[in-house]
Amino acid sequence: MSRAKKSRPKKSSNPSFIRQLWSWSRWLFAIAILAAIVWVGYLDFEVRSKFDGRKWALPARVYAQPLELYVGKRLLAQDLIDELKALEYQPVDRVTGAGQWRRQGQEIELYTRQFDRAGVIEPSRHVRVRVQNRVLIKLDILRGEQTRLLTLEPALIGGIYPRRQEDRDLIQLAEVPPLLGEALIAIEDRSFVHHFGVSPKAIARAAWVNLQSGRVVQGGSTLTQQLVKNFFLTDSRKLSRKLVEAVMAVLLELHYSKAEILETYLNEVYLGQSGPRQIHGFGLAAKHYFGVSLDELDESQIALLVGVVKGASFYNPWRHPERALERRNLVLEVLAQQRLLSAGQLARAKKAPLGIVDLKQRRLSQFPAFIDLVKRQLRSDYSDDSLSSDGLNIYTTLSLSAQRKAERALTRRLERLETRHRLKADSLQGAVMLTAVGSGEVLAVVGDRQPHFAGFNRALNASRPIGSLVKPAVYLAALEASEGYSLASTLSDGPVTVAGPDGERWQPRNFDRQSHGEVLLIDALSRSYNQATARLGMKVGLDAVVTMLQRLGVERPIQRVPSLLLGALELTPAQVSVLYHSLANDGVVMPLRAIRSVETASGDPLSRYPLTLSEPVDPQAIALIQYALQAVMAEGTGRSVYQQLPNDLALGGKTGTTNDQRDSWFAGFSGQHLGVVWVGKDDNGETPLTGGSGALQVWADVFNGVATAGLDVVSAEGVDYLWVDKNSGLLSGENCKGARLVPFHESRPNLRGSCDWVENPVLHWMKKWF
Amino acid sequence: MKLVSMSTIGALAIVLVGCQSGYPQTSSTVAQAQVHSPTPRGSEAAATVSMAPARSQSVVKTPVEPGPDSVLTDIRREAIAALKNEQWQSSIALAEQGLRIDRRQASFYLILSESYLALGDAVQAQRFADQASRLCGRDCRESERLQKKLRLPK
Repeated sequence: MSRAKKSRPKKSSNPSFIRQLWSWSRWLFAIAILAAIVWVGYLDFEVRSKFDGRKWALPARVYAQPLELYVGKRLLAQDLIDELKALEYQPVDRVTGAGQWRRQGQEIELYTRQFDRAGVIEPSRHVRVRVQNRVLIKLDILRGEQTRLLTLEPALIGGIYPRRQEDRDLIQLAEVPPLLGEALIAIEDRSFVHHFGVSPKAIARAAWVNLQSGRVVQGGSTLTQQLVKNFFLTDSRKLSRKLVEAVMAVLLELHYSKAEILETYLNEVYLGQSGPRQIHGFGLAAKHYFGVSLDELDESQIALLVGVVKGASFYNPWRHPERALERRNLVLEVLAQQRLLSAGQLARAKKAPLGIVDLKQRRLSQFPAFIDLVKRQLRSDYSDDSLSSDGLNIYTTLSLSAQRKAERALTRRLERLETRHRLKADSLQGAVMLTAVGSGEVLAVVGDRQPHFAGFNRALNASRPIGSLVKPAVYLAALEASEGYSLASTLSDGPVTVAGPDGERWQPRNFDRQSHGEVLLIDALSRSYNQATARLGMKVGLDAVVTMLQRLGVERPIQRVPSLLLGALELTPAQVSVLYHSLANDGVVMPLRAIRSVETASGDPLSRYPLTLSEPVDPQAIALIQYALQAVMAEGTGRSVYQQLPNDLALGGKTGTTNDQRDSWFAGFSGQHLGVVWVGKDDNGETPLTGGSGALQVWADVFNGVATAGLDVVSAEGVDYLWVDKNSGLLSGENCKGARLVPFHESRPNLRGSCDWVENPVLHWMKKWF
Repeated sequence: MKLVSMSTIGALAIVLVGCQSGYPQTSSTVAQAQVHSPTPRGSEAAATVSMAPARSQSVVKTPVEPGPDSVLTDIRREAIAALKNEQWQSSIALAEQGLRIDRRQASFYLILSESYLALGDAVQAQRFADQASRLCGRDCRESERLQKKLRLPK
């Protein structure tokens, strides 16, 4: 009994515990199943939402202005060659196909590529051009549709990227060369067409190899798993991540076809790096490595791209060419084993060089200062998110050749100035902005002496006192005023004192500390006399000068203080460009533009940034100021420019130097280009430079390299040219000693001075006619 | 005697005329006499002068290279066709392209003015018309017609 009693609880407790355990287990199992269902459901949702939606954030593509070729265009042969190089045209001995060029003396033969712009197709053409004396004088279309205006495709100059600088050229499976797809499958996942997302056989094989070697040496991931890893997950090698990867791969295969998965893989896979920019997908990789589109790849190039999938950095063909070659040849052998290549093709492909583009050419040109301006102008119309993810095409006004020349001029000249003036290396900084006169299109922006460094953009952001650059506005206000000023009016350049509102006395001095007595207005401007200018400005009135600055396009608030007359006005080089563009463009005021148009990723037009005009300034007074600014270059503070540039190139401009020579400015223009240069120190320190010895030298270097036309002043209605005495400003004659020709508008001198003949008047007269 | 007096009168006339060169001349004469730089190639501006002080006055350069006239003709033709077909954006883009090549072509400003007028932007239409009037040179009929159309007599 007692035994029975004793054994009963034992018998009853065990089944109860097991039952309880079983019950718990069932619940746990049910919960686990439920959790697994929820988890898989969640993963399924993740997979489908990302795969069905927009798969990638596509950065905006920014393009330079296309190079247009026509007879009469001012152009350097080297500019055309540089443009072709930027477009990755290949130099050849014999031009046979699109994307090739060769030079023969003064002639350049090229075969353009077809391209589509806003629905208009520019066909491929075989052409020969001849450049002579910086002018394109011959354009022969050898093959293709005849035209008198040949446009090259615009060069890609950058992008507006999201934080992770992923870039890709989207491709469709139909565009992919069959060999590329087959090669990828042969190398990365031979059972791709048969498996359901994971390949147990491949996993087992990899596990065995890894077990034998004692470390992870082989992966068993299918293409689908690789896609899942890249597309949805991190690079972690944890078991849990592998599990998620496997489940998602299966889910992906359940919902999508093999073709869709392969197409996504071809666009997603990471294949290299270009600076901070990540190269994803085979479409962009073909351009990155070989400078060609996907359909132009040959067997050896396909093999290299497929080989690089295993490790873009490890097999980087520029850094490790032998390793890359070995990998490429291994891929080629596998392709031959798989009968994707014949023995002949294998032999030929293995003999081929890597064929990658030149390392210098490979790097996407980086123009951070210009892109900064583009972004600034776009922000009023597009959100940051839209710019970095909608794949917009942005067509800008940047001229590749002008930009490179401006960069080179600033960098090299600052080095020379530092050496010449024994300054600490890299102590000077500078900015350059080059604009096309008339269209207001910004051709080049340099915001740092290291132009590819995307730091502080001085061209747009460095507000500095402009010094004497303000003077043309003072003189323009005087010429428009009712007091009857002309360029031949005389001004006193004697010492001047101006009392400020708070009792302060302002006593400006000339740069040379000398007074020059009575001077003509044109000389006061061309020689940049401070005392005469201050006196003139005070007579005309500060209000008139401020109004003139505003009419010329200065938008920032301007303080009405006497020192404004000598440049106590802080502007950026970009703002100075607006001001001087109005002077260069015959008084026609307009906002400067860095963008021509924006298109969607598929090429549909979104917006244009057209030429718009503001209220113009009196053309007669402007004609006079242009003449005086030419005098600055011919005989005034800018005359040293003709040590570098041809004498017959008519230029206008103005130097600017601020107190203690902290800022060296120059703004000058030809008939086609306006350049504004600032040189100084970031810490606002003193420099040994004036506007003429600093910024003007950079400016001259830029203009020396740019094919440009001299000024041709249109005779504004009501402007007459008269001979006046260079000292008194009184009427004189062509054959009188000391006579100079000066344009007049409303007010003309009435008094005639005495005339000392330069030569016998009869002889002079006869020389004129015979 | 007659011969002597005639030659004396002739010499006197020459001296007098020669002396005139020493005195201020009429502005137009001076301007015409001092044309140093050629009219911008392809420009419609009738009388352009480059009287850059000192340095550029002393140099006369004859252009030998051809100008962009032919390409401007093509662009103008296309722009006018777009204007006729009421493709305003296209006519604007083409006129701007023409002005990029030669900024003083009055005809392109006229096309811009017409296009903006059609698009209802009277302010820009007026400013481009004014610019055309400024640059029309000898043939200003079109710009005058446009100014009338804009109801702003010049």
